Amino acid sequence: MSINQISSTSFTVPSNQEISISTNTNINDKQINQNEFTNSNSNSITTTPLRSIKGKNGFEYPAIWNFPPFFTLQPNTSTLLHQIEIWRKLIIKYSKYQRIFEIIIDSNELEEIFENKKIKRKLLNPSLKRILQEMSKNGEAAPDPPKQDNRYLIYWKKPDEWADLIYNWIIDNGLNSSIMTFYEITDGDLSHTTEFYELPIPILRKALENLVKRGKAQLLEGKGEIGEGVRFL
Amino acid sequence: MRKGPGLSALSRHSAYNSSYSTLSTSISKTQLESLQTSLESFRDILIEFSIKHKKDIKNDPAFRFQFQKMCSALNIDPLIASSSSSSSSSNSRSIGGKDGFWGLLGIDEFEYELAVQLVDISISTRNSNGGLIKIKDLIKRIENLRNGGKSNSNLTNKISEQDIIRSLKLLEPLKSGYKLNIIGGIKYIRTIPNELNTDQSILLNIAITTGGKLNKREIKLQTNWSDDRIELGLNDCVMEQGLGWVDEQSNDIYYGGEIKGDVWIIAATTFEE
Repeated sequence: MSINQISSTSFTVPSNQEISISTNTNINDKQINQNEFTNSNSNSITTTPLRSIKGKNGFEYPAIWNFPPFFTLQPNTSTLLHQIEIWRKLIIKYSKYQRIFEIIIDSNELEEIFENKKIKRKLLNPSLKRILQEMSKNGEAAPDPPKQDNRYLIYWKKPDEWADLIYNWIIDNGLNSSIMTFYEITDGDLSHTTEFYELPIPILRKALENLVKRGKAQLLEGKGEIGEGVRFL
Repeated sequence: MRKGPGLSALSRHSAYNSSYSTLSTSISKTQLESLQTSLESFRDILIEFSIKHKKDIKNDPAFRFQFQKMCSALNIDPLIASSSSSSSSSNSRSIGGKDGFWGLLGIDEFEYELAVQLVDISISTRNSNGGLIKIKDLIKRIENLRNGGKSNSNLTNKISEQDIIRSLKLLEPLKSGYKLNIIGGIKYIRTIPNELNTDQSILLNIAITTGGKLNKREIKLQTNWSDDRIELGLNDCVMEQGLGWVDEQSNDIYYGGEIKGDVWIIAATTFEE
């Protein structure tokens, strides 16, 4: 993803209503950059206040999402810490809204949140990586598999919270002391209406391991085609 | 009366003098007494009035300001009164005096509360704005705080700019540097002792006209500064003061330099949540 592809000549602060950004299709060569220079006076800067906006998916982005520098990790340390904190909270909120369980940094499909097309700003991969690392430190994400920094599980609920949710559901449905496969828990007929529907196996495993520690479950090795299972106690 | 040149004239003269002065003291004494009684009764009425309108004074900034003006004309300083009343709250019975007058109204409570909230907002926003905030933003945030995070236009607890400025006075003894700055005709509160230098102030002035954005090329057009001076100014804003955020994707990387791209002064950018 190269910055050269992003080509705006005038920057217009976006508002809810009208966004106007004039674009040059190709700024890669210096000639056009030169033109841009001479045009600079005619580029009026609209100073509408930055507002929160709703994305295509209905998610409401905060006003700072329309603040261009929000997409550049800041050189000033205290500003950076503050900025990362905002990003962390935003990613958690967004993931919960969209039920995103995993973020793969170099995937081709970038989540809407990481690119603001209206202001032509993008959270570049190294920046996203840095934020996810911070989230890992805070238990809001975890590299999966461990010891790499491209795929991260996102914990908009922490594994122990998932554990509580699953265990309560088991009790409510009288499934304790019965044996269930992983698949039955996350994709079974009974779990369609639960929050952990389609929960990825790595997160499920962490939640179940948490229950094992608390003496509420026993993990069973998979036999043949049945796959792994769990007995709730 | 004959002005005799004799010795007796001297004593007569001094006698006149002393009786004149006695007369004047007794007159001014009675005048003073009557003035004091009328002032005291005025104060009593004022107290009565303020108790009656306590709610308005607390809730209506315009009313509060008028009331404050009236009090200062009477030489009752709400700040002195409130701080002394807090130190001697046990004997705040002398209502007519300065002690306890504002305490009685709950005004000191109002101002202390406001000062605490002002500090609260200042500290919690400092990392993003480098300790510079528009007084209007500050008020909005305090009102949101009081309203449990929801922005609501029909608040009963409206705060005025004068209230903030008075709270700043309250914070003065703490030497924490809370100060009113007027930049480009807009009132800002500086919440750290660090003074802005001339170049930084000029940059802020430019930022106010652009909605917060500082573009190196535009700075040059407006100031005719050397590249180094622009670079230093921006670097100060970003690295030293934390007032500015860098936008490296502005696609307008002019001459390079340590600051790559535009700098946005967050305090000069208006956010509407």
